[in-house]
Amino acid sequence: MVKSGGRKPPAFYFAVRKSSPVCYLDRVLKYIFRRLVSSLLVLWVATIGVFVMVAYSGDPLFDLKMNPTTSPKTILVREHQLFLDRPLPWRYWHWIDNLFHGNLGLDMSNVAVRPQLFIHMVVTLRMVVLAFVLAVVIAVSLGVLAALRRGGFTDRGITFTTFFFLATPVFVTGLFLKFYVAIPLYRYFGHQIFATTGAASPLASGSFFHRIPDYVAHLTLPTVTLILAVFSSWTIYQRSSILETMNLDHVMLARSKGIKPRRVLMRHILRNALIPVTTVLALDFAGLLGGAVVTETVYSWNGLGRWFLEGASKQDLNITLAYLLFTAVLVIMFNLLADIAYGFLDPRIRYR
Amino acid sequence: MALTVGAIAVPSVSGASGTSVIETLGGTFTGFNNFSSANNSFYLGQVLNQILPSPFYLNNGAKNVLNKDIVKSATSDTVNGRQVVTYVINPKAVWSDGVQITADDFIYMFHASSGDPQYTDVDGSAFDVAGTSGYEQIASVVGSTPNPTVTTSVVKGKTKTTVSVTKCEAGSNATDNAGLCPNGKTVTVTFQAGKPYPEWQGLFGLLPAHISRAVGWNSGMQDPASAVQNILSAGPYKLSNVDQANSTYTEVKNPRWWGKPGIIDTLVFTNVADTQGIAGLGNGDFQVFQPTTVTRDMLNQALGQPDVAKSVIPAYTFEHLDFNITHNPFMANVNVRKAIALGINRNDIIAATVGQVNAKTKPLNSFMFMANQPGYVDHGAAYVNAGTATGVAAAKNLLNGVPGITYSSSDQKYHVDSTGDPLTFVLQEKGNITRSTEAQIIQGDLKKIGITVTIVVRSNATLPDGNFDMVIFGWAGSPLLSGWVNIYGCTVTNSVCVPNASNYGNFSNAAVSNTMSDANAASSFSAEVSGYQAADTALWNLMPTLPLYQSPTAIFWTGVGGIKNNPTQAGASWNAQVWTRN
Repeated sequence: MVKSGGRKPPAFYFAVRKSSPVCYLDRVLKYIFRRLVSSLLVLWVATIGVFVMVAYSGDPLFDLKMNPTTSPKTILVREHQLFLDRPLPWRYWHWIDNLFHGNLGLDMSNVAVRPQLFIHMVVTLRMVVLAFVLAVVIAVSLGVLAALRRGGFTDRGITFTTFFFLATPVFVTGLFLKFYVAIPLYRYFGHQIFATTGAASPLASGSFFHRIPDYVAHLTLPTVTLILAVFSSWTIYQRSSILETMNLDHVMLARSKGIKPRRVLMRHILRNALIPVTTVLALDFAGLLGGAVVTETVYSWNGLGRWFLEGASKQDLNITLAYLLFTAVLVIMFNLLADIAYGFLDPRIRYR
Repeated sequence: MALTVGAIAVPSVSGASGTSVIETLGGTFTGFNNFSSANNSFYLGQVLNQILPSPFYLNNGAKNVLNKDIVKSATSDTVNGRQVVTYVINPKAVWSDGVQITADDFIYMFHASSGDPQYTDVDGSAFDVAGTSGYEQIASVVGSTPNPTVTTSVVKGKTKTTVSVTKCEAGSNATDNAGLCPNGKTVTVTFQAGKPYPEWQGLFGLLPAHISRAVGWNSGMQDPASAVQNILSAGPYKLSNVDQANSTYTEVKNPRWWGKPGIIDTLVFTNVADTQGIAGLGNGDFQVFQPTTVTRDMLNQALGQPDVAKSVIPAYTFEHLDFNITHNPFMANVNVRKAIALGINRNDIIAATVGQVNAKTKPLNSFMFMANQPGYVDHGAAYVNAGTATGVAAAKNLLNGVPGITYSSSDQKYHVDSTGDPLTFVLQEKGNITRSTEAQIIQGDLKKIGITVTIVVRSNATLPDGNFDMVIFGWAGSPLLSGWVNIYGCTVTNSVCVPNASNYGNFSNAAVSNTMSDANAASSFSAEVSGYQAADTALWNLMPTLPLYQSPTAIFWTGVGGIKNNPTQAGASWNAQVWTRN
């Protein structure tokens, strides 16, 4: 039986464990291998689609051609540098060949894309990972609290709050925090409490530990904004999952046997209720990167999102492909992790 | 508390000694060679304003001013029928690594920017240059008069200083400067016969030849990690740190700068989205904010920040409606184009768009001069009533004389005689709120004169394909006029005047084109201005495009003194060396 409300696992999950742990592990590895192969095929098709779409989305030399002082020779030089004078299949093959050698090519300014991807990834993950962890803790806690106080003031308060933030666009939350929290605090204290732009102060220096106060000042508002953008749906999900689990037979039995409510909650309700939520969280992590694009823009973080947006606006093929490749890999990876986690967390589910 | 930036220790932003100013850039850039088309950007220019030298700079009046820190003099003469420009380099001028600025830096810039295939980059590839204007007309760049050698010796306890004449270095074929006296401190630039360049003052922004030749023009200045080493300074500030993760560029005072030093100790440029600028100023995140596009929202937000000052002026950029005379045969008729110009109320367009940012904005009545540019003459008197009842009547009067179309009073539209269809033009716009508003007003105005307009939104670049009858876009103007021939001019080939590269409306008139070409070859800048004024007058009778208005440029700042808005593409940091902290 599959828990309702969770991500419905594929049919091939269900099998009776008949063999030894070694054999079981072998099945898991085979399953992962099959998924990886199919994922790579999806990824390959995605790269072709993205390549063609970006290549036909506009002229990357448009701005140059619009400049009346640009000589035709210069345009020819640039077309040659960017391989625009080559047929599209050749260009795709060149890109994929470079990819197999760990090279993501050069951007429109002739700067290597791979180091840029890693630099911006670190900036984004700094915010996303922290927001993700805190949002999970908050969502699980509030979900449990709301379920336990079902119908009461607390439940209604939490439900109202979660739906409020669910309906509030990220940029509205971000701007509110800037104009009604950061700036008033700056005026009141006469010095900056929370930074509203950038991931770090340009003038900050010293060791990592010396910079921690600066990082905190820059990280707080974007992280809060991102948390408020994602915790709501997880809270609602957690609440319904708890409520559903609370009414299952084994929980009723545990209660009737006189087991302490706290123990029932922790061992019989929460543990089971977390299973579908865990898979949702795993799947949502990649989606969180998408949400970070808006947060990065609002707080002028030069993370992956802004890097991609600026690259796409310049029709920079290699930057666009690198970003989409990165997010596609993340989505596929976390899908795979969710599937695996589902099987590990629910003892009734096995791979074959 | 002292903060360390690069190798220089400076106090915090508000410190009394060791001050800093953080300025925003509205976008990112990678690569540091602003003379290459791959790297050239307004944002990079902002960063390099106080670093790279040039004989002249554009001040806030958009005038070329001699940069005496770099050249003691720069003169243009005519010798044997050729224009000859002579630069005398300031003997104190050195790059931040101690190497003197010499004729070699001029020679290298000429070779790289000339577009001449005989000169190639370090790897043998063609130089990728942002612009060849002026350089392709140069015949030679030769140095002379190297700095005298000064030797100091101690003889019998007395210090003896000997000054001796330094000979010209031989140069080498490998660096294309053999026999050109590359160590000369006087530079003689000779233009080709019959090809003078009246805008010579805009030439020779310089790179350090000894570095650029070694690392390469096309790819040697791209890596941010090596930018601090490769981007040498010959200005008041030098690049001290590049933080890619935060798109932040830090500059400190150039210890080898020989001129009047900058007042602020540290300049920082960081990438902040336009929409977040005012909040960042209000929160003390930075002190100077120059948006890429100023909006009414920004001005409203600034009103709520009592410490934020602003300057909004008309920039050397203008919005216009371009006519494509080859897409629809009726657009080829000048009276149709004139009728459209008479039907459009440009004041309404301004009121609905840019007027909300700068209430003083007026319709631009020149094709190539900005209203605040020396040489501007208002040639639009015939269109002063455009869009009003008088203008509409005049427009219909013109259209009534156009063969092939007839006015139908039943639907109040002109119809094409051969098909019976309404006279319809496709208006292309980019889809942003300003352009969409402009397109809708134009559509409504032209309906009044009986012309149907179909608006097509194309966010991507499609100008060169010419698939439109009218298109709204902007041109970045310049104090330099020679570029306009590429926009309005044509080149006669096999008795046909073929539109030049940036002439997207395919307008061609050999006489006007010749006027502009002759102006480009004028012996002086004032003669060039006169030539372009004549071309401007002629264009109003041919109406290849309808100028709408000058776009504004704005700077917002807090806690900084000395900021002066510059209408050119120089950017706010053009005079950062005189900025102060309040």
